[in-house]
Amino acid sequence: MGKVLALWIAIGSALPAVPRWPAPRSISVMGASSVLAYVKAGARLWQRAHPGYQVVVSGGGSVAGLIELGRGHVNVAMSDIAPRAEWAAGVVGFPLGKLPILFVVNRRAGVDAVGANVLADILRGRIGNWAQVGGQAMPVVVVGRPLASGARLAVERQVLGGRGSFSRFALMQLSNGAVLRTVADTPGAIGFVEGERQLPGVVQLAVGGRSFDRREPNAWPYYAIPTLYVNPGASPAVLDFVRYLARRPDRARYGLVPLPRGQAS
Amino acid sequence: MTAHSRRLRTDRRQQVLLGAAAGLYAAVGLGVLLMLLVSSGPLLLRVGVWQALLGVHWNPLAGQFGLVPFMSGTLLVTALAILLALPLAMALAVVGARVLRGTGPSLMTRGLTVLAAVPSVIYGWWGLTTVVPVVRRWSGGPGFSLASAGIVLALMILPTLAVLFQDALTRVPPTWQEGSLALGATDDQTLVRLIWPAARANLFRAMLVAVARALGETMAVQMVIGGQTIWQLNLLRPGATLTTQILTDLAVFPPGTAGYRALAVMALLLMAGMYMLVRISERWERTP
Repeated sequence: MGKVLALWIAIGSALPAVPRWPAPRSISVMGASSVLAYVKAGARLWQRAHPGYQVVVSGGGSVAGLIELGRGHVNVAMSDIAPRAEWAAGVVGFPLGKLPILFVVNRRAGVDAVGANVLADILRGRIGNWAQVGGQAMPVVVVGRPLASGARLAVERQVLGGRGSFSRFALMQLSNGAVLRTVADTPGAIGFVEGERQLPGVVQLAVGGRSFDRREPNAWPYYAIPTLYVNPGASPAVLDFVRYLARRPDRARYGLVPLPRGQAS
Repeated sequence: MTAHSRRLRTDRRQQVLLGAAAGLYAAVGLGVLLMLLVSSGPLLLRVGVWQALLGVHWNPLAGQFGLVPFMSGTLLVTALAILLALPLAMALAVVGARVLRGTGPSLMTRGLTVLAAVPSVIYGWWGLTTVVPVVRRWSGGPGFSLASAGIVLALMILPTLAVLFQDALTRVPPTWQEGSLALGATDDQTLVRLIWPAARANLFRAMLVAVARALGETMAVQMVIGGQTIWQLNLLRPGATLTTQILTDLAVFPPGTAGYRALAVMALLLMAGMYMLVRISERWERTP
């Protein structure tokens, strides 16, 4: 046993010291997948203007990003959810804008507009057939996202009036794309996706007499606010990077609607 | 130093090195187990082992941590997968071991090995585009279901099971088979009354390997099962397994929270299930 230990120590001391991660000139970003494409595109441009820096961007979900930021494992967390103290205390947020949450319905349901209360009852599972709201006689299939999803949290707060009120019979899909596909393929399905996007095979639902219009994005009431969070002692490079992303003018290309003056930090 | 003593010294070094590698592996395994025990312990002490294991409601935000829906989903999906894969795998194995001649058996084994190595996400994708719509048409439901997960899993474990079955059948000494045929038994009689009983231990172990793979599969199952956390036994309805629920909820519960501890209990259950499979397979040690 002593020899094994000695050999182990010898191998360990012979290996080069493992560098601390992230390396000093790298910036690691983790969190919500809803703004992954925007942050990756922005990171590429920022790196061009800052030679020698490497930005590493990965998903994993809002909560995972915040927890890793709180532990000091990443420099920046992307999150649709406001941070709780037990995840990451005292962090500073840089909102990227508003990301519309759109409700989508399978074409065969025969419904393209509902009231806000009706939408809430559908998502809670209280309305079980589209015929009850003027559609085809077809069961309602609610397609949701897991508890970790920022979009689900926003829907629960803005439509359902609180956490934990989502239909227990909902199908769960892990991404916006999976929700879209499931809604498009499943007769009677309804779901929600973040960001304006091509919505083939589904009907975009008007809610309470309002439908999302990119020319008047602020008229649509359902939004998530994806935000970049950093620790208070973040380096100047990290702060420069998040400020750059929070101010880029081409955010609309990625579905992000700039916040009205006064809401942006 | 003589050449002999140098060789002895080299042997000792190799033994130490291999011992260290084995020790590291054991330490990692024990570390995982310890982490799960430490993580799950407080919840089990607070809620009670049986209340946690036998509860039928999963609503971690409301403090409900019943794991029956996931244990039931895991068992149903695994059982369906084994039921579907078993006869097909045996048919392939019999063809490979007793019907094909020349390079046929090795070609078949190669093909099955390639299929066994296909990443699970690809099987999940296939399930999403093929199995889910078929189940939807059959059942009139959403298609995402325990049945879809079972069918996808069956296809996933089929190549592994067929290769292991084929190996088990070819291990039966040819002289036994020749003796059976010489006594006037037909090929079918030889297969059913001699080869299967003689290969029983290896066939059983092969099945346990397939069960273990089915129990632990996550991604392909997650893509087609629907993720519903309500306990029900209808195979045509959506559900969830222990592994898919860990995947779904891991990102939302930070370490130290009750939800995180519940996920650790699920992982412990899976490890306990695997341990039971290993113990059962050890009872079938004797081979022909």
